[in-house]
Amino acid sequence: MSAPTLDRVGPKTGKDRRPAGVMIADGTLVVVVLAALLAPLLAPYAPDAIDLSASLVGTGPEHLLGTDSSGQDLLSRVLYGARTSLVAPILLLAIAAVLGVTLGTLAAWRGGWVDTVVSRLTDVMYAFPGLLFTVLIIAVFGAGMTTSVLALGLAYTPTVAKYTRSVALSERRKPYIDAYGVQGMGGARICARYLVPNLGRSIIGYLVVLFGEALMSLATLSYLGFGAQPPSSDWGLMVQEGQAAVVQGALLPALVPGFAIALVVVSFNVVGVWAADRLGSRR
Amino acid sequence: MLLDIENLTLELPGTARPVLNGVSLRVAGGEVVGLVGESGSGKSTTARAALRTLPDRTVASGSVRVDGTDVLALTGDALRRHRARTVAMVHQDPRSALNPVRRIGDFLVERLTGTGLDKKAARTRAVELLDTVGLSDPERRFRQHPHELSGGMLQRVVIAGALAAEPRLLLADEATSALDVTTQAEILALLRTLRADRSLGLLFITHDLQLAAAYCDRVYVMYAGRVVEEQPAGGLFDRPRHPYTKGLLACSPTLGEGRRKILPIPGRPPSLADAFGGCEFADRCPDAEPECSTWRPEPVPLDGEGAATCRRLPALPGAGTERRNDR
Amino acid sequence: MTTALPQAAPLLAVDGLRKTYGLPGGGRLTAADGITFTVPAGGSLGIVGESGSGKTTVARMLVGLVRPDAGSISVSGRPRAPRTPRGREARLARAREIQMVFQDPYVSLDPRLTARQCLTTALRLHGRATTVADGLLDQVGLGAREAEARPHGLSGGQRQRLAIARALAVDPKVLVLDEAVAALDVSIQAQILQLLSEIRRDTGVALVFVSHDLAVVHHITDEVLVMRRGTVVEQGPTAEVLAGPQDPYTRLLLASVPRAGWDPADAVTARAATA
Repeated sequence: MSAPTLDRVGPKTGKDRRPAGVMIADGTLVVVVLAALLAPLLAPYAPDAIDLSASLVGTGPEHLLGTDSSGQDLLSRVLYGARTSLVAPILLLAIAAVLGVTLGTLAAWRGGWVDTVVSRLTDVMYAFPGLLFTVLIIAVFGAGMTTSVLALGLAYTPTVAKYTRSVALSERRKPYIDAYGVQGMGGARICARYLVPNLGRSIIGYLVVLFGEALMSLATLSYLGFGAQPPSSDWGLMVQEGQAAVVQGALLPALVPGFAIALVVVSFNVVGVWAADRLGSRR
Repeated sequence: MLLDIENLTLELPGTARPVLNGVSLRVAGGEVVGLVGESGSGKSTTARAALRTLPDRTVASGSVRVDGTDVLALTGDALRRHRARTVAMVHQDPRSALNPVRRIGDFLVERLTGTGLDKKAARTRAVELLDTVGLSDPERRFRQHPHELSGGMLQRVVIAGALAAEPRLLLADEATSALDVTTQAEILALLRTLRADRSLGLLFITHDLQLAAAYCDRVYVMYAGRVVEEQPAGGLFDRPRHPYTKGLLACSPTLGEGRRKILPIPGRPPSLADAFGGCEFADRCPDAEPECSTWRPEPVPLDGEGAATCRRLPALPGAGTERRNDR
Repeated sequence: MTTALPQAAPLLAVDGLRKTYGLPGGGRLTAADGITFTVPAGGSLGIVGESGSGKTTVARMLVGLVRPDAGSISVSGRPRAPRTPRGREARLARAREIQMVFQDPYVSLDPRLTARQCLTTALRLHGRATTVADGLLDQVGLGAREAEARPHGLSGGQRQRLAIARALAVDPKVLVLDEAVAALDVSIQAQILQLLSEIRRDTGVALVFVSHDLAVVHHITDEVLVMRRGTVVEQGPTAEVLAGPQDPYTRLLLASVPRAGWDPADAVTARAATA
């Protein structure tokens, strides 16, 4: 039996400090974001500078991470690729957030048949593999980064809607929401101005957890050739392009972007899970 | 003396004042002692001191003895035995004490086997205990889950669990506060019977001075970590001596003759972030003088029994009813 | 010309209110049935009962948070629609009839808004000058520091003061208080009760005070309704009902209240007399 601590007593304890793993992940993400922002300053070469004479060079002073089969500098490409690879998931999550939060809040607020319809819809979408859905849309509208982001945005909407619905349901039971209704405020205004803002922390925490997954999905699409189209590039496309070099014995062109993906995804998951735990323990 | 707390002071890092400040309190076998205070007064901490379930970095001075054993010096097995056998605690919310997916019987059997009974004897004893705490059809209750019972019935189950180890001292921390008034009366009647049958000592912690004064043998009133008054319960209604006790009585609505105007105590109960250079109650006290803010509080014996920690005691009228009746 | 009419009509008239809920195993739970009472302008009515008596259901029906199955509620002779009207003006007019203060001040205030914002939100909604906020804060005894504090920076008593000010910001005719002092420390409870008496005296707002606490109801109400299992077992002037209870259940409630010379066993005996 451990000694309980008194309520409302004492300074913040060690539990509030971030564990070492989270600190490392935080640091990694800061470095990655800075690298993406400062790519033009940091990259030694233009990302699309082709130098066939330097094809598949290993690490060395000229090319810190070597080159790919077209002689493009891998470090430069990974730095520039970070821009697409980080911005695209943010865009797709923004789409999913706007649609998902709206649907989820609507379902939680109206209840009844609205809730039934939204819940059934999200369940069906849930059961349907997101990537398959995306590929179907791309099959209709054609490949490309824009289509991929839009399609994945739609594919992530049910997840966000389901989560929003559950947190909105418990939040709307709180008397302060009742109080707005008793004041004579309309439902739409209560939801938009007071209910959803109070869910903000939970929803943003959830989106952070989704970020790593979204990045993976986009990289997968690019790898499959549905996403980024040459000459523009992201890490997924780089892995795909680098694959051919593996046969020729050069591992770096596939490994460098692959490692970048893994680093960002793992870091986001570590931070996201920690944030979700903390939010959870606060409720 | 069953529970003997002597000049206990507890300090926690990060607080502006001691959580408990020179608390002395006694409970004899077969006695019901009330401990009254508002939030932050230290009444629950006092009970925790008897179980020694205090926060890790608490600095304690003074002594806590239960049945002669120095509780603050206990460690390891001896401490575990103390918590399991000698003292039992009943909290406000019975649902938090019971595992919702386990049956009532399992809860009791586990407690009983912990005291050394074998499974079969424990089962028989558990049913007896359910009967003792006044639950009808104890055999059926034994097989039920917590969600099938009302709050009052669950509190009876928790009391049965507390009795399992046949403790000498029972600590009831707001044990009836969450219950309906009629159910509260039943639980109180039960505790009174148990006290008589088993010569249990009962420390009854509550925020309700009326309840404590009506139910207990003796009452301690706490304010800001300090015992400000101690009296036989009967005296509290007629002769409250400390201005805080008087204030509490004057501000509690009561039933009966006409409608007396209630006189609120100004200000708010102090938190652990408030520090004091003298009497803690001085800035809310109608009888305070400037000297009270620098006076080092110490209990002043009352004629008859008890004590009150008030500098102005000799000058204040003995009965607390004048102020109430002056309008 | 004609005069007497407005005087005679009660401010709040409730007639035959009923609410039942379907139970999972079929059958229905009657949360409240046959609730009939009136409250005059500036009057104070107590609704007393234990958990499960239906008192909170009645409170929530009054403000429109629960839709009654049957019965009517009218304010100043105008019946209230059973569900919230869609039009903005109708909704606001309805809000100005009855406001509510909830039990737990820790969850009844928006955690994101400061005390002042909480009030200006309500004032703006009703087209009142936001400068009224300072007067309201002052009326409930909150100062400049509290005005800029969010709920988590306020004590329980201060939060309940703010909740009362928020209800008053709408300038209602009736204020429903659902166990509004139950979660507060004794000394703070007295302050809030005094505040409510002052508000009633100064503004003429009528109070419907829902509580489990007979002593508090005795203190603050003129008329009382004693509820048990969804029905009213006794009602009348508070002083009469508490001094000479007719129903065995009212007697049980009274016998359960601790006081000088009280024995809890009396309550157990009184219990035997109720059905």
